[in-house]
Amino acid sequence: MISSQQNWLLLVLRLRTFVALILVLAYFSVMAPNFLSTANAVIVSKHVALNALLAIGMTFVIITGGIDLSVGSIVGLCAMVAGWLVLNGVDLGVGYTVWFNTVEIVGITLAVGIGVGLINGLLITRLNVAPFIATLGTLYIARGAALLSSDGRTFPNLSGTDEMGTASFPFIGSGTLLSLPVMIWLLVVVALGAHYISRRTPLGRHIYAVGGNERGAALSGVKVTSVKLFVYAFLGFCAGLVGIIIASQLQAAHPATGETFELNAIAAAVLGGTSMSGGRGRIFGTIIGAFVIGILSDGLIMMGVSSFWQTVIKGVVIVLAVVIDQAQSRLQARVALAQEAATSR
Amino acid sequence: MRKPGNFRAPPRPPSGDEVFRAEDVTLPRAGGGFAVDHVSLTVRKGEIVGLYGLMGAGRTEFLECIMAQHPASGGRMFVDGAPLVERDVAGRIARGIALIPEDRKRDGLVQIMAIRENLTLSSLGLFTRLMHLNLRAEAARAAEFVKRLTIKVASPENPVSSLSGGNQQKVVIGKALMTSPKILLMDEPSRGIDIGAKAEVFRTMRDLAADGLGILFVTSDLDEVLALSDRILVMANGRISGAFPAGTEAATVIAAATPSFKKDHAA
Repeated sequence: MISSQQNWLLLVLRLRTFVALILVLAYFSVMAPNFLSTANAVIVSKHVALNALLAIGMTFVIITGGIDLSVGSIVGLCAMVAGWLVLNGVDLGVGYTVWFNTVEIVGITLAVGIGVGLINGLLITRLNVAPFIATLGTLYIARGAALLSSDGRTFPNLSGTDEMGTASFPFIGSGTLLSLPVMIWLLVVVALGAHYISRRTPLGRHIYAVGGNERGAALSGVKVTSVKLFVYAFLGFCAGLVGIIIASQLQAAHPATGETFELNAIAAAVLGGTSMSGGRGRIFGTIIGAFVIGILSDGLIMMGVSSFWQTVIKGVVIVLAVVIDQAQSRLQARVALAQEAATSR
Repeated sequence: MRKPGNFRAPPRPPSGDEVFRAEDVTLPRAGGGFAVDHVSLTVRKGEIVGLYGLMGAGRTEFLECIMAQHPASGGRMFVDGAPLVERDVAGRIARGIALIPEDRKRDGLVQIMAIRENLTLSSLGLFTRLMHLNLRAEAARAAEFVKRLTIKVASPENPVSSLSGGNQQKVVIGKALMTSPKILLMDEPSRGIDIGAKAEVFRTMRDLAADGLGILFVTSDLDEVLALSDRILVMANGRISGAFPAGTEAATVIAAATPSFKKDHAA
């Protein structure tokens, strides 16, 4: 029989990321004065937004049973592409240079991000390279390309000019709409879109099916190749967006932008309940995971804890999350088995 | 309690028009020779064709060729007389072919997904308009199939892995039927399920045939092939080595299934 105790435990475990969020929020509001102010909430959200955007894309990739190590490098490459276009335009080589306005620059940069994501997807699906290796390769290639684009230097002063139509470029990273930063709005739009895809479209169902049993999904008529191409391209899109936001926010593009971002994105996804073995995960879980990580590091800074300790604590939280996740799957399977055994008798 | 073991089909009216035809289907083997060696066969509407043979006779591979699992395969296939040109599984499902694989765990189900999600996995297009999945219509359809196939579940939202083998097999069958197939390919449909569920699966097969579905099923169980089939085909060494009407003696069928090594060595 299923005890009500088991059901309670299961509910708490299911909502664990949420519980963790409330715990860290409560802890820091008591320990750090000013933590619960609106101003601080906006600051924390801005810190979280970039990681959350990447983690959303990463969640899809991990649900299909893959992994993408190249996101940080795609962020760097896209920041450099945006910086290049704002600063230099495109030299056609006949003494004529094409300049682009902000919208066009955003479009081209996103296309570059999607393109690198598609290369990842093609390597994995068409050439059968393991995701870990394929994206490790593109990690180096994209980072190398970013460094080559400026010879390792920073593109400075990306404030844009009115005559080129790029004066609005800094708005993406530092502007506000309805008193909220633009990047928060971008996060909201991408998060809602991704949630919709995951729960209300055949594509979303296919993403889960591919991660749960790739062969079984293929035999059921799921186009596994297209599904995988989509998830890597979508993550490339997210990375492109983050690259643009960073270049715009700093009004400068540095080729080392985005280093280790991939690890933070994976951490947020895992903390949010995404299973590394594929088939399980939720977009909102991931976003809460990103907030737990963000609040943890910002809160610890406000309390004056050494950043070295922060790194240790972050690691402990991630490992704990996975341990609890394992316990939950076991309990869930047991409860379902008990239920079904009760009916078939 | 149903009496197990008595699967003999009642006499049925002669079958209808041809619904599926395979001509000279081949699948080259890696080490030379053919795993499926120029197999030709037809299945009519409302007919249950049993494909009997020993392990490694090429029966599973033949079904996989029909389901577009082997890009290297050759030959021609027709559904309702029209050539089957689609190269991917989704296309073949759309043409009315459904496969119930031998290995439920590996090929048939996504174990961690819900019973509902497994049932509808091949037919999501039915509930989709402009990319939007109508979850209510999907749940209703899944509930309908749970009832129709008498799948015993506490909730269609539980993971399919919590079901017994027989009920899991019914989910696989339900998934195939939801695509409204014209021809159903079943690979060892009774493997790994208890005797009661077996009888139910066989009764389901006969009901489906009575409704006009063509069924081609692979089995290694002699009693099963003799009891269920309207027509018995035997495969050995990748070739069709015998074709018999219902009611053929067991010994004749076994003889056809035995690979004739002498002939092979001579060849």
